[in-house]
Amino acid sequence: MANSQRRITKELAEVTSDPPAGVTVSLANESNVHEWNIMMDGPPGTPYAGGKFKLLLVLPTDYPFKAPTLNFKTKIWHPNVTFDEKGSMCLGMLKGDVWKPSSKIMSILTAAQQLLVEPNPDDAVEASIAQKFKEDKAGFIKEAQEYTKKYAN
Amino acid sequence: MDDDDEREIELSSITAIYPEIILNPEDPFSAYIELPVHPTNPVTVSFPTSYEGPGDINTPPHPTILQESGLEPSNNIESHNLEYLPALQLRIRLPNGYPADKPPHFELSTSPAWLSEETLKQLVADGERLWEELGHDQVVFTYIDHLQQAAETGFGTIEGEVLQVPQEHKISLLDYDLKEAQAAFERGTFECGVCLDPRKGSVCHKMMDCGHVFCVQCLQDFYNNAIIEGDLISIRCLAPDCAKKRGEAQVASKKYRKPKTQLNPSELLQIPLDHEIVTRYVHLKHKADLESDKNTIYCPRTWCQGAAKSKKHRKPEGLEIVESDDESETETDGKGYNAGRDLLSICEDCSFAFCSRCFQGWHGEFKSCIPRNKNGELSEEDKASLEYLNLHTTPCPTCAARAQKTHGCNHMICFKCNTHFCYLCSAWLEPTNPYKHYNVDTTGCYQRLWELIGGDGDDVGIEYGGGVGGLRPEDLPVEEVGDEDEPRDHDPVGDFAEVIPDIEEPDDEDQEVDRAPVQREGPLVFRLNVPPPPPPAAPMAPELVNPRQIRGRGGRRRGGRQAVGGRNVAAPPNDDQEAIHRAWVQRFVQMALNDEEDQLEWDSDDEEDRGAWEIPVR
Repeated sequence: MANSQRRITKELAEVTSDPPAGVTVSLANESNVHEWNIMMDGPPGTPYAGGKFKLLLVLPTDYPFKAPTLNFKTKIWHPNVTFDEKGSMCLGMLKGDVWKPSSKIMSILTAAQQLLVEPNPDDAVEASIAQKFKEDKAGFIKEAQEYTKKYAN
Repeated sequence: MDDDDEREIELSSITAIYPEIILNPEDPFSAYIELPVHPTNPVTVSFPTSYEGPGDINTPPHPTILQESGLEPSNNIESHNLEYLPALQLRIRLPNGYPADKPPHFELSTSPAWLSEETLKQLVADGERLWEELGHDQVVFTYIDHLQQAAETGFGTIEGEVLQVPQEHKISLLDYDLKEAQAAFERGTFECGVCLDPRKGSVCHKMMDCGHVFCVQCLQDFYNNAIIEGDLISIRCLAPDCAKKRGEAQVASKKYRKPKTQLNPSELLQIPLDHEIVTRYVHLKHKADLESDKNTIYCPRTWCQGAAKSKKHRKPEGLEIVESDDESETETDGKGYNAGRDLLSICEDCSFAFCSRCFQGWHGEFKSCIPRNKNGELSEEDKASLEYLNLHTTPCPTCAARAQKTHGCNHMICFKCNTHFCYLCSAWLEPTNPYKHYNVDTTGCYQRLWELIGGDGDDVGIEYGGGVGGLRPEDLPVEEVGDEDEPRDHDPVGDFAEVIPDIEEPDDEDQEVDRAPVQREGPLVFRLNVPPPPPPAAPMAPELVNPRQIRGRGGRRRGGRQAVGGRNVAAPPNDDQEAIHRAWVQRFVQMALNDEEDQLEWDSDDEEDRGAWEIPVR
């Protein structure tokens, strides 16, 4: 869809010129605007601070009619991100029935950042991490910091 | 000619300021200009229906501006907030001697005449006043400016005031407002939230409910795609959180109705979407509504499978989605008994009329039918009910309503349709001579009027308390007896008649000894284990015997348990009793033939028990 490409180009220009703090964006492959590499700094004040996380944003061909997908390529120990190679995350606005075509990539990125600041243990994909987050905050922070050191450097 | 010059100079500078002004080619000192009326705040306009009474259509009544509080309490005033009103038309003529000696000549009008004469007159008068105030100087610009300011305030109707305009101008005013608003929208530029491109208003669509603007191309692409995929939930405003926010706003304003977020078919057509696509949307939506409603009844025709017509989800005709009104659905009957017509369902697709209980073709409201499960099978309980019905009830030959006899003769009158029929064979009986059926030996029911006199079934009959009280001489043989009646709390289907007279008989002390030993089996079930004792010496005259009483005393049990359905079990006749019985029956039949059976003497307590003979209306 020609419209789709145009919109993606626009959003790319917008996000590269004025990205959210701690985020840089580049195309995974210069000839394909549908896959974006995102580098996200662990937000300060969180156990992820100091880490650099790589994410992959995939925009479907019928974007913006269909929601994009966002995955962590760097392993992250977080209640809402699967602790595996996929790094799938559960982001409300990307769910099929919630996604609206006029939602923008910029807001997806800020939402992802916000999720690092405020994990949502009630909507977790990693139950054990969520439990730790709820019951042993200090232990959670320590462990998350360790994984951040281990994987996100 | 200084004067002329001055007028010329004034008009030419006015033309420079208002290029839309039209100078009269025949008179250089007159001009015409239309001043748009676009008040800063929308003006509340009402259109009283009978303003100044039913006036002549050709001479429209004059509109006025009234203080809202001063409004006469006229009925049905509907008011609209208008942003654009038809332009104020100003004709200017500058006479000789203007501006020094003569005032300018102004004429004001509107088309249609929505502004009142009084207001116009006042505005015209303002012209001369301004000319005076300026000290007889060039006043045209000042005057136009004055009019524009007046227009901005809606000619003084801004706050708490309602502009009244006669009903006949309603459509043109509303139309004008709409057109101007549309024109203003089309002149604007909007950034479409989907393609992120700036678009001219003319290729954009503004959402009716929320006012978000998107370009037509994006809306078409998105909605067409969603409707083709059957993704109905996406047919809503494309702005993030839009529906959610409106939903929350509605909850906050205590309108607890489900927020309406999906778009109307008519709006889809306006965008515009293809008729075909919108039709598909309407049909999918209807189908989804039906499927999400567990009460939906489907057509039993396997090749059809349409839904039964329902008030809640009306089949769309054309492209209107009928809003379902959830409030109107209330159970009509607490006991779950449905009046017959509630069972009638008509398939909205093939128009097949069927019963929603038994899923057979419609059988009329009187017929009682057995509910079936999805596979068309009966549950064990229903099977038992059906079996019971077959054994212990007789259908009316006319309406098929089932009757169970509790006592009395076999001449029945249907409680629903008043048909006379025979309880034994369900034959229709001639109302004028119903007993003929039992007096002709060709019918099979010859001499069987009194069979089953004690009722049909184990659980019917007259109340035990009086019924079995004593075995009196007048106790006549009965062919079949049932157990004493109990409150009938288990009508198998609840759709057949029972007549339950409540006859109390005082216990006769003398007869006490004759009372048959009774074995109590349950709270209200008694069985008599001995044959009836011989009748006392002085039998009551048969004509004094109330047949109901007979039936009531027919509570004697032979052998305790009756085979179900054993209607025709004959009693071992007691000669005396039989003679009495026959005599009584003959007399009764004779009187009945003369339609005088009512004149037979009844027991005294019968009078107040008449009501008990009424067939209960359900």
